[in-house]
Amino acid sequence: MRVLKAGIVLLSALVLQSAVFAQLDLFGAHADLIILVPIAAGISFGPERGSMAGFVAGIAVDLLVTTPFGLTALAYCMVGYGVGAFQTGVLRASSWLPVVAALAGAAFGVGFWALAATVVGQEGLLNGHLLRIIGVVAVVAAVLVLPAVRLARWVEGEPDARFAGAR
Amino acid sequence: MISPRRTSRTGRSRFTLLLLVLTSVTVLTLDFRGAGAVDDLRGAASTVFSPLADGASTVAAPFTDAWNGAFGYDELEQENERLRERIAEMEGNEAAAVDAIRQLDELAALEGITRFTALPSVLTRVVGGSLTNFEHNIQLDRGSDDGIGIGMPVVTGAGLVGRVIAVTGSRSTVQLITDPGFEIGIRLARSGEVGIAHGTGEGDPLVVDSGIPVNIEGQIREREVITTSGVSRSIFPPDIPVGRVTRIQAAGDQLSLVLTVDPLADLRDLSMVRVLVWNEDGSTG
Repeated sequence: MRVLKAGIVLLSALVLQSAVFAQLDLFGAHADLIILVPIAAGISFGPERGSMAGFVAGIAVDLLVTTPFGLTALAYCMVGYGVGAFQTGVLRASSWLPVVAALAGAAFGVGFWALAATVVGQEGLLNGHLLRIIGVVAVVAAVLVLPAVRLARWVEGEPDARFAGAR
Repeated sequence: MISPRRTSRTGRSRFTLLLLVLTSVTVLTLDFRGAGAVDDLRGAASTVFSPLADGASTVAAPFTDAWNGAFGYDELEQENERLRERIAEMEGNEAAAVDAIRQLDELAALEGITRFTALPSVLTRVVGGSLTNFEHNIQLDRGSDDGIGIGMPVVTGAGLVGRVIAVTGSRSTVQLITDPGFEIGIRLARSGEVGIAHGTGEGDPLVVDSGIPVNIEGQIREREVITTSGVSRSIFPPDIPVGRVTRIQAAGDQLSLVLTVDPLADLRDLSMVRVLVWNEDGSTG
């Protein structure tokens, strides 16, 4: 049942990304709904589940794009791990923590992707436009992270008590 | 004090991350080595996903159009102004152009040269754009079932749009000429000088930064048209209009020129495009 729920959420996110978010121009860039999958999983269930959710979501994206296969999976599993580790490392839970984690995680994910893509030979990514993309993706992730965390809890059940910041 | 359970969990999550990173790097390597399985998987995923995405796009179109119209109003006004200027200019040139094209077609036919206007083509609808910020692609609603193949040029009536980079039975993906990874051999219409242009990103102009010697600067005019060069082993047939020169400057080495070129085709508002059935070896099948 959990796998079915996760599949439905991921597929819905991909369809929404393709039909809506990728078509909306925000200051010359597009929001990235799929990066919320590892962020929400990391916030709700920690680094291990965050990285696994990121890997699966990244592979799903990699199947639908023409950029090097595996690059998005690599970036998103790092995002999930990083966000989960950040959430775990914070001793006192706070309502703004998920927002900060989403902002930082999304910015890191986009920057990491561009850097890794450049290393493997993609051209023209490290320029001023990248900062705009990072800004748009990070802000939209921060705005949408709380509903995404609720959705992650619906998929996986209640979060572990260690990740209280997600409440 | 750190509990042993927490240390164990941290170690396990690091181990999981390591495994996932290694798996990602492995599939990346397989992709770079040209493993056919990756293309097959992508083809299958596209076949399954495309109908869902197309349906959702149709439903969401009024909303996305309204959003882009509202938040891009200034750009639309500028675009409108630019298009009015273009129409006036084109109306002035039309009569002369029609006669020149007719003469050129006759000469080409006499010499047995196939011009791109005479190539067989497939008219297709643009059904989607890029999924992510780092692709500069469009999706077409026709694929290999209609004779479209990888590498084929894609044009509108105005000029070159891009080339097909992935194809399934009923769908094609086109890399736009503005993609930073896109390179193309070009020819200047007046001087006939050839060079190499590449994209610099969505909405940004092309740049010609190799091949144009600095000593022909006086022969290049702003708004001069550049076309595909069609030189030996070119990935495009010759003479497809690409763009207009908007800026001319000397390169850092002062030996060559750097030209900034605005694409002739309006890449932000594509609805129908034509795929030229032309292969890199010059065949049309």
